[in-house]
Amino acid sequence: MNNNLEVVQANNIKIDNKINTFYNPDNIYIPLYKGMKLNKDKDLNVLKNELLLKGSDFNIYSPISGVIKKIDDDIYINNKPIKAIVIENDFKEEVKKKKYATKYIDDLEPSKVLELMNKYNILDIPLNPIAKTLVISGIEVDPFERNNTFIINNYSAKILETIDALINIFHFEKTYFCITNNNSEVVYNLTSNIGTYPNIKLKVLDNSYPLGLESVLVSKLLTKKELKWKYNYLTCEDLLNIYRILKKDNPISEKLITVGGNCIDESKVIAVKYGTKISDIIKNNIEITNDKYLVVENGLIAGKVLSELNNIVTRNTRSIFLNTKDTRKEKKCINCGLCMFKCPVGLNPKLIKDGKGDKSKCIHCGACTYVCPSLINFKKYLGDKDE
Amino acid sequence: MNNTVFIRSKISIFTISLVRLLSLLPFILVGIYLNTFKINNINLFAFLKPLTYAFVGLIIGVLVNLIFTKKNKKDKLSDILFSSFHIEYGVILGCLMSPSVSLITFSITLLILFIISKLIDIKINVMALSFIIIYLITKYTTSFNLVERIATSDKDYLIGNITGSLLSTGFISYLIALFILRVNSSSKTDISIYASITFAILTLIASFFTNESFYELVFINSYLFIFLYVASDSISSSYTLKGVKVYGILIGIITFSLMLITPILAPFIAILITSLFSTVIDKLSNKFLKKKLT
Ligand code: SF4
Ligand code: SF4
Repeated sequence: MNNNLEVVQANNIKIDNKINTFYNPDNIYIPLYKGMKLNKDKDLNVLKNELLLKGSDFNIYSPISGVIKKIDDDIYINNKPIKAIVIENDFKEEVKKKKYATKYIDDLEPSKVLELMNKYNILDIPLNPIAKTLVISGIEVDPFERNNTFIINNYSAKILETIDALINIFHFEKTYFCITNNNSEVVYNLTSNIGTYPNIKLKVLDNSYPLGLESVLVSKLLTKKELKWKYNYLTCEDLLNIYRILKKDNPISEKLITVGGNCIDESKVIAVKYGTKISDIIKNNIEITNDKYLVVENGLIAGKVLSELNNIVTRNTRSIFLNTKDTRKEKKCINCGLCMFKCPVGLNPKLIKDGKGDKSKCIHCGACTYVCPSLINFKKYLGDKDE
Repeated sequence: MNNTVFIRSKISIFTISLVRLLSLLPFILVGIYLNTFKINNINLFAFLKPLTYAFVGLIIGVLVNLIFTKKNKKDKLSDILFSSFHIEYGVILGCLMSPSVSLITFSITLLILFIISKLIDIKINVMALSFIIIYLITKYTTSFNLVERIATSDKDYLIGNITGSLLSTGFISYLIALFILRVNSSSKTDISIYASITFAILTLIASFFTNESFYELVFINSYLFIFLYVASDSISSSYTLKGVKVYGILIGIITFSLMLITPILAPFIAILITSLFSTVIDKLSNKFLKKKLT
């Protein structure tokens, strides 16, 4: 029986491979997390990639060149207010000259690779050098996002080179590159390029939601033994970032985000600077066709409505959608069992709704709400993923 | 704000019913053939009668939904017509009727029971209850023989070479319909599979001890069809992954136990009884069957 959940995509989600950029907002906002210190004395001019904030766990570099203006406390991440340093853009993209550049990244020592990754803090979970398996995901988290697709279509050579280098450096025994079968361009692109990398095993999986989530993908892909041995999980965007820092020893200053929804003229993938305000992205890049929209971050199925457009782009921002609500009324449950059948972690959302089920394992993928024929909104009962 | 829904699947009672109704086509086509050409009875009435039940069932389903659905301005016609599964119930019951059942008995009983089921919120299999009542009324009011099927070889069972209702059409139609329903990811098909397998195993065992043929026991009285369409009714059956399996097994066992007493009603009584306990079955099977049946 097929318990895959296929999400039918809207027509306006066709995205071309053109690189759209938005590198020139007037200001960039750098979150001032607790315990961080400004790495500046009197001179308030900053260069792109210059170390700006020092913290105990990680540092933050400036994504643009400009002048530090003030501290703004009306800035949000995940709808939560934060303090942020405001850098006024001088639009020069001035960079401190640096000599370092590696021609072949697979010549690097493991310690150097780990050092660079750590220095620029590019992964949420640091690479585990003793794990035996490497899982690469080219699958979108939300079916309406196109970040990984876009990266594969534009940078497949760089990505494959990086994976090959990581395998050679850390001696991973098994490497899986996972994509889904619904995206013919991606399948074609990788199948025609992967031949020269015999160590990388391409896995073309049936398209289903929420396969783009790490826990769901690895539980479908890896055996119990492979899970026990520990694995490394990287997205295509992680790989592109690794490639860039290994080549140039520079911090990552930009992020790819999908911009879409039924209230704009066309969807696209845009490269924006970290710390860009969502309102600036909307104002400068999008033609709005319907004013009755809400702004949703990170997916139409499981995303979050932004209560403030003063939210900024961080490493965890994948997409922004300008979309109308589905206002249809809930009906009586018809007992079809689809909510439970499609739940990737085997919960019983119907029972949770009645206050009787355990929701502790819920990964907030939204599949149950998406699939329910009676339009029951389980999000109300499952709580917020950030809680 | 984070409870806002932006996008939903297209699955609805309409789409679920549509798939189930379309999957009936192989049964209906073979059924028409068997009830007309096969028995050399090619007059218009004989040709139309089996289909008439299904059509009348459909109309009664439509009527009941039109009358008893609260209408909103935004509702599409398909939302109103398919506000419940009554259209599907009507057509399936129509397909189950033997040509010897009076159309008037069928229509009136169906209308009354459908209205009651709309008014009273009780988890009971409406199709099974309706069939039992129509059967009993027919049995005690007419002298017709309710079952007229002749099978001459094993092949007859396979292609359904027997007369009777539209659905006495054999194993191949069943497999086609099961395939259609299963690829449309209905977890409820598990009910049918588990009921059929349990029933087949029990009859196989029984056939060692009796002179009854195994084929005959499994394929008589459209049992497979009943397990596939009546037992898997969305509203009244169990819905959890373990529950549907236990529910199916119980139907198989009860049908087998009742088969010798009342072969025609056995699966319907089994389904009626289990439907009354579907919630309990869900609860208990999830409590006691930890991992085994998933
Ligand atoms: S219960 Fe949680 S994990 Fe399961 S489908 Fe719903 S949102 Fe996803
Ligand atoms: S998916 Fe919706 S209608 Fe189906 S059992 Fe779950 S809550 Fe009920």
